[in-house]
Amino acid sequence: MKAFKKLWLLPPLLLCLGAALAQTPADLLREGKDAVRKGNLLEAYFNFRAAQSAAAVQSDLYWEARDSLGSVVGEVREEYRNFQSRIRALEERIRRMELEGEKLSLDLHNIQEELDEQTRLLKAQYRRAEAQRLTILAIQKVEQGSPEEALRLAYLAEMLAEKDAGMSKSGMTRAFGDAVFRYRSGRVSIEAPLLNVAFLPKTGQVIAAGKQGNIAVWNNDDTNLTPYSTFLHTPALLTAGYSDDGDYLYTTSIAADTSVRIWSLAGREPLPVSEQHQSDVYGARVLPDGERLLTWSRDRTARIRNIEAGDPGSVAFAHDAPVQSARLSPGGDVLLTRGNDGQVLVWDKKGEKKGVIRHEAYIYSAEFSPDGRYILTASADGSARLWDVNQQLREFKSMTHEGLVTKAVFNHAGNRILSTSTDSTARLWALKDMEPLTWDQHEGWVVEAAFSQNDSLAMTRSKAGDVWIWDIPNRSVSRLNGHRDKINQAVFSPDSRYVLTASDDRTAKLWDTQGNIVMDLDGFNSPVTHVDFSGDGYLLAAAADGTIVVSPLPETVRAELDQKPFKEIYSKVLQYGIDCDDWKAYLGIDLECP
Amino acid sequence: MIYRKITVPTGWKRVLPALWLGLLLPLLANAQDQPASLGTTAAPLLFPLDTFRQTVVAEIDLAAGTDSPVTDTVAFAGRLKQISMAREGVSTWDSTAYFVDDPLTLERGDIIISYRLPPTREQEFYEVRVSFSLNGAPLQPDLRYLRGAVGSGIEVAAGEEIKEIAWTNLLEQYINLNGELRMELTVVLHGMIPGCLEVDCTAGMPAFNRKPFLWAGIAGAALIGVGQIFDSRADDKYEDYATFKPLDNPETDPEDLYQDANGDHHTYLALTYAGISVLAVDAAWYLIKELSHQRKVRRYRECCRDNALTIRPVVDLPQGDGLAQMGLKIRLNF
Repeated sequence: MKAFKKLWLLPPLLLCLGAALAQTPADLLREGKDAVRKGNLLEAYFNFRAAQSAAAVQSDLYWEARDSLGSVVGEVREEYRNFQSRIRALEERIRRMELEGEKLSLDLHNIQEELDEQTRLLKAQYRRAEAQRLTILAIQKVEQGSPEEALRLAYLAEMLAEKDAGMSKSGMTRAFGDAVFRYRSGRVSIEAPLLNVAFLPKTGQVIAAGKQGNIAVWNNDDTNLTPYSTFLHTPALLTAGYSDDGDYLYTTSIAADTSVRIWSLAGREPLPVSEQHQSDVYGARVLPDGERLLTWSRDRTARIRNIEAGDPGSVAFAHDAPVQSARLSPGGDVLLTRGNDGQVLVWDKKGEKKGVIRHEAYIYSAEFSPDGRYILTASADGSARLWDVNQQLREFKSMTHEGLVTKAVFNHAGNRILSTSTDSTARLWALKDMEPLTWDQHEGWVVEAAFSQNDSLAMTRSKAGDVWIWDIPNRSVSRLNGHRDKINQAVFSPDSRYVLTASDDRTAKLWDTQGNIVMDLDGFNSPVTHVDFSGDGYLLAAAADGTIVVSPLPETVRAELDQKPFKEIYSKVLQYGIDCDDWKAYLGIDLECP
Repeated sequence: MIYRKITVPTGWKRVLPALWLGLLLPLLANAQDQPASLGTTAAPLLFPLDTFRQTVVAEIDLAAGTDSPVTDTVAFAGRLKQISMAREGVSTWDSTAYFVDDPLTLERGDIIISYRLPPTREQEFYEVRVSFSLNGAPLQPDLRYLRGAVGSGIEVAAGEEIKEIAWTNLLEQYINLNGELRMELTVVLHGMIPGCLEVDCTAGMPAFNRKPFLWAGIAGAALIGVGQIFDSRADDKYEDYATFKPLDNPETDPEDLYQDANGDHHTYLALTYAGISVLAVDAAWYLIKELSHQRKVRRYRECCRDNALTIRPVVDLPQGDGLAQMGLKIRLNF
């Protein structure tokens, strides 16, 4: 094989031989040099080799041909090595380029993804900025006295926020609430000092009572408050209330007039006056049958009388001390009276005493459980106790605090109890568990406790005015932060979605259950002392100077706006630089953009 | 005097005296003295005569239960221990008249304040104020829950001197009163002050303007004087009538002469009555005012001697919601 491999040399050798035979060594040498100059090293190689063969050995031509041959061979070899290294370099370059290409491809993909993400974030930020801009505009419009525009701007901001799960909605919600308050609230007043104010059940009318004995009722026609009727019980009111169905109004006055007066609210007429009490009548309540009135007095009695018929035939329950409160069981067959002697007396409906509940100190509250089986008492002896009505008032459970127990209330289901104390704690007790959930971050005596209608939330308020909301399923407690002074009253909305607070800082605030302010009711000239919700989407706040403000809930107005064509809302605030096309695409609304 | 057949005045002559009186009365009305003292006002003013203040400091735990086991009748009493008591006041009579031994007590959650008020005399009444603080912070009682002898206009009959104020329903309003309770009871007796209280020496000697009375007297005399002229004319005309001879003056009707004389006579009567009325009213009014003036001058001279000590009430009306301050201003003339 080796011999065959060299056969390729045969034709050139024969050619060279022929040429050599034909040419002289000097010619061959010259042609070889020409070939070198031309870069044809292979031809030069053969010419020099032929010149060497043809030249006489040891002659000058011989040596010159030989040197030239060696030089050509060296050049060829050098050139080969050069090419070889260049090829290697090229191969390396190609390899590197291939690697870079792969990396570039990956980078390109990543960049594309990143660009997409950035675009999404930028768009989200743009929406948020837009929502914030509209919110700020809304706030400015509120301050500038253009609440209608503010309302629309805030509504649009809320729409943006609604589409973005990551956007905090509290600012927009508050701006909307503030705009609702400024745009839609109505205002009336009653001669101060104010005793009580509330919405009447069923009719939604606003009723307010002044301590001077003046009572007024207004119709609430979407916050347009028009006088309905006035009532007078002088010289000064101790209590004023109404029946659960809103049919009757009752009042009690101070010692100079110990009568209990009742009016039919529908007929605006007085009913027979009760004059059987001999001293201050501390309270009254229309019983669930709507026909009888329960009253209790400093004259050591509680009485039940028929509203329409008056005092004849009334039943008296004689206590040993001034009666501070009285309650009828849900079933209507047991009555309790709480005296200021540390005792609760329990009666049957005929007026026969069934038993006595005693604490070692003053009893602040006594209530029936929702099913009527237990009586829950809270006492200055540091305990709240449950007494079983069906077992001769046997003590069923004792719930203790380090301080006086100021209040104890059942939830609506009747399976939990919230107790408050002067030891700055509130405790949530399950009816059958021993260990309570204790919250000890109040700033002073805890004096108020209430459950929301759905029992998922509770609220406690201290005498210092801090209010905490209890998320019962999650066992967490959070404070309502936002008032600059003490909170005087806090109530849950009937749907358990809001809390309304009244404060000494001359504002009332509407909160969602996460503690965000939804509406700021300001503009009062004295501390706000009373707040209430109606059952049909309104709220009220009243100040000590007798000013009463009624506003729709934000959701009431939001529902109204939802019903309106979007174009109508949008077109009125077009001048504030709203990008119609963008909104159209983003919200998916069929808009006629100008 | 000649007998005359007098008839009742008619027309403008009838209202002449009334016109004169109408002019005269406003004139006399101007003859009021210069305002020289507070005592000239119609209703008597009552001034603070005596002030008494009692301060009681006590340790209180209103919601505390009983130390002994719970009984059928008593489960709760509250605790109150008196620490100190201070009494101060300016008294014209007996300052101890206001004291009781145990001024602050508890009764089933109510704070009872006891004190004594001497019986009031005619045109006297007490004003009773009470204030509280707990641990240095003021308590503002809801007035609807203060019972008993508190406020203004309290009159006391003999045998009813012991008074009580009950601050009721406290535990329902405050949860508890625990700590140092300070109670301040202020009693102010209002009534008439004997002495020179009604005289204001700074206003100078009481003045009395007599000119209106003089002018009224002159007017009355003038009326009578003019009336005399008419009377003289009436006499002359009547004389003409009486001596009238029809044959000498056949064109003259004697009845005209008579009517003319009678008219002048009526004018004379009207003017004379009016003048007498003016003089009578003027004299009577002047007499009354003169006596009153002399009395005031006498009081002024008594009370405003150079070295006299006078006392005047001072009323300081509040700027805000505070109570009005009343006091006495003493002036000593040298």
